[in-house]
Amino acid sequence: MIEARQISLTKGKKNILSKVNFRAIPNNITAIIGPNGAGKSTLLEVFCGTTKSHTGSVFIEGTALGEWKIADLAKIRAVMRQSSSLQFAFTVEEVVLLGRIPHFSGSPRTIDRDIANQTICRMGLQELSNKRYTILSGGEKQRVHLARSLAQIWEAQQQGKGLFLLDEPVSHLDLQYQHQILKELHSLSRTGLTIVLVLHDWNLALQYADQAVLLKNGKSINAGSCEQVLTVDALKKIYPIEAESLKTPQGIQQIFTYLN
Amino acid sequence: MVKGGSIFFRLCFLFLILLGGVFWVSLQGAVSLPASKVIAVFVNKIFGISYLNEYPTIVEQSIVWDIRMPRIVLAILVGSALSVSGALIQGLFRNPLADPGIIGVSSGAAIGAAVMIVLGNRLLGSDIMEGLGAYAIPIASMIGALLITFIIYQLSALGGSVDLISMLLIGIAINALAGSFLGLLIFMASDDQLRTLTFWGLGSLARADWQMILTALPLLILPLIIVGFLARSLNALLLGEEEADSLGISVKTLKLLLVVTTGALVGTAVSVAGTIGFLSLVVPHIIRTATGPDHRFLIPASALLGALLLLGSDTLARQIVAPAELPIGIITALFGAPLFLGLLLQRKKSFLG
Repeated sequence: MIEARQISLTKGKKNILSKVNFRAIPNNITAIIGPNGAGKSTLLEVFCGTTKSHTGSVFIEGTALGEWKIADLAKIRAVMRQSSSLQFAFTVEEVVLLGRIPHFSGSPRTIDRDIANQTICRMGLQELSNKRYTILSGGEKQRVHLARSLAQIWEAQQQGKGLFLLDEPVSHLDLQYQHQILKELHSLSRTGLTIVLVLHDWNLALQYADQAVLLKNGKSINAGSCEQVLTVDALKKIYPIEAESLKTPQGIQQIFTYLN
Repeated sequence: MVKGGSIFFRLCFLFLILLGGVFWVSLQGAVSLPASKVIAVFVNKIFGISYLNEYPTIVEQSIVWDIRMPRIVLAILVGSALSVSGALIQGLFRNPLADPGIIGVSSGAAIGAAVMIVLGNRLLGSDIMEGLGAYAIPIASMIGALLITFIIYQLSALGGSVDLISMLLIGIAINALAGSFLGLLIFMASDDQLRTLTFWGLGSLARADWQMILTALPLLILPLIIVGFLARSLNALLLGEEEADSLGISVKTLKLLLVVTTGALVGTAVSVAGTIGFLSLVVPHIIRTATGPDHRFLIPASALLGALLLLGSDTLARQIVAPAELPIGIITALFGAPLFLGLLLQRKKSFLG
C-alpha cells in the first residue's frame, strides 16, 4: 500500500506538482493518467525516491518514505521503466536473478534461483531462459523485466506488501504486447500486489486498471474508479478533441476520439 | 548467473595456465638456461632451499631473479590492472566499448606523469619531490586518470544516459588535447626528461625492477581488493542507475568507488609501463563472449587473462626482433584495433539509427 499527502514540487518557477493526494491499495491497479507535462512521471519518481526535492509526505506500508532503509525498501518495492538500457548479453535467467540482488550478498542462493525460475515460468519465458537478453524483441524484454521485478518483491507479494511501480510500461510496444503485458499485470495485481502505473492510453486503463488518478498541470483533478474518472466528459475537458463512449463485448467502457 | 562452484574451477584453470605461462617465459631470453636451473633459482629464492649439485651461479641467479622475474611480475600486474580497469569502466559507462585508452583516461594518466617529470620540481619544489620519492610519478598519473574519468563521466552522462557516440567523441577530444599538451611538455623538456617521456608513447615493460614493483604493488592491490566487493552492485548497475537504485544499491558510492579504483589502476599501470592500448577492451570482451557479463566471474577472469595476454605480448615483443625490442603497444594494438573496429561495425546499425 502507498499513500501520498499534499505532494508539491517546483522546478525553477514552474509548479510540476501541486498538493497531489494519492492512495493505492493491494489487489488493485492504480493508473496515473493525464496529458504530456501533467506531472505523471514526476509523481512516480517521487514514489521511487529518485526525486527528493518535493514537499509533502509519502508512506509505504504506513512508514514514511524517508524512514525506510534503501536496502529494506528494495525488498518490497520494484520499479520498472519504459525500457532498460541494458546492453550486455546476460541470459534471461541472469537478468531475472538481478532482481534478487536485494536478497543475497555475494552469490545467489538456491532459493533465489527457485524464485527466479518461478517468475520466469509465470511470464511464460521458460523457453527463452537460456537465451541472451540482447537478442530478444521489445515485448519479450519487457516480460523479462516483469519477471525480474516480480522476483525482487516475491516474498513481499506473498505477505500482501509488494509495491510495483511502472512508468509507461507499454508505450513503445505493439498492440499485441500492450494487451499481453497489461493483462499479465492485471492478473498479478490479484495476488496481493499494489500496482501503480503511468499510462497514456485511457482505453487501456479502462480495460485493465481498477483505480485512476487524473492529473492536469500538476494537479490531481479527479480520483476514483476508472469508470467514474475516465469519462467522455473528463476527456473533453482535458483535450480539445471530440469523443464518444463505446462498449467492448464484455461491457467495458471505451472512448472513441476524433477531431472535428 | 554462473554457479559459484563452476566460477571457482574456471578461475583455477586460468590460474594454472598463467603459472605455466610464467614458467615458460622465465626460460626465454638471450642466455639459454635449462629448466632445472630456473626451478632451482625459484626454489632457492622462495623457500630458501638449495638442492642441485651444480647449483646455478650468481650470474644465472641474477638473470632469472633480477632480470626476467621483475619483468614477468610487472607484466602480470599491469596486464591485470588494465584489463580489470576496462571491465570497470565498461560497467560504469554501461557500454562494452568503453576503453580507458579510447576514451582518454590513459592519456590523462600520461599527462599527469609527464607534468610531474617535466614540471614537478618547478611546481612542488625539490623538498616535496624528495618526500614523494618513487611515488611522485604514480600519484601524478593516478590524479590525471581520475580527473579525466570523472570529467568524461560528467560530460557523457549529461541528460541521464551515456551514449556511445558522445562517449567516443569526448574521447577523441580528450586524446587530441592530451596529444598537444604532451607535445608542449616534450618541447619544454630537457634531454634527460625527454628520454623518460618518449617511453610513454607506446608502452614498455623494459624498465621493470623489484623497486618499481614494490612501489606499484600497494597502489594496484588495494583497488583490486576493493573491486572484489563491487561485483554484485556492478551487475545491478548494468541495468541503469535508477534501476540499480531501486535494487537497493547506493549508486553514488558505487560510482565514486568505480571512478577512484579505475583511476588508481590505470594511473599506476601507465606510470610504470606507459600507455598500452586495447588490452582493457579486448580482455573483458573475450571473457564476456565466453561466459557472459556477470562481474563475479568477469573481474577475476579479466585479471588472469589480462596478465596472461600481456605476458605473451611482452615475450613476443622481446623475441620478434631480438636482440632489439618492439614497443609492446604495437603488439597489443595489432590485435586490439581490428577487434575494436569489428565491434564498432557490429553496432553500426544501433548508432546509425
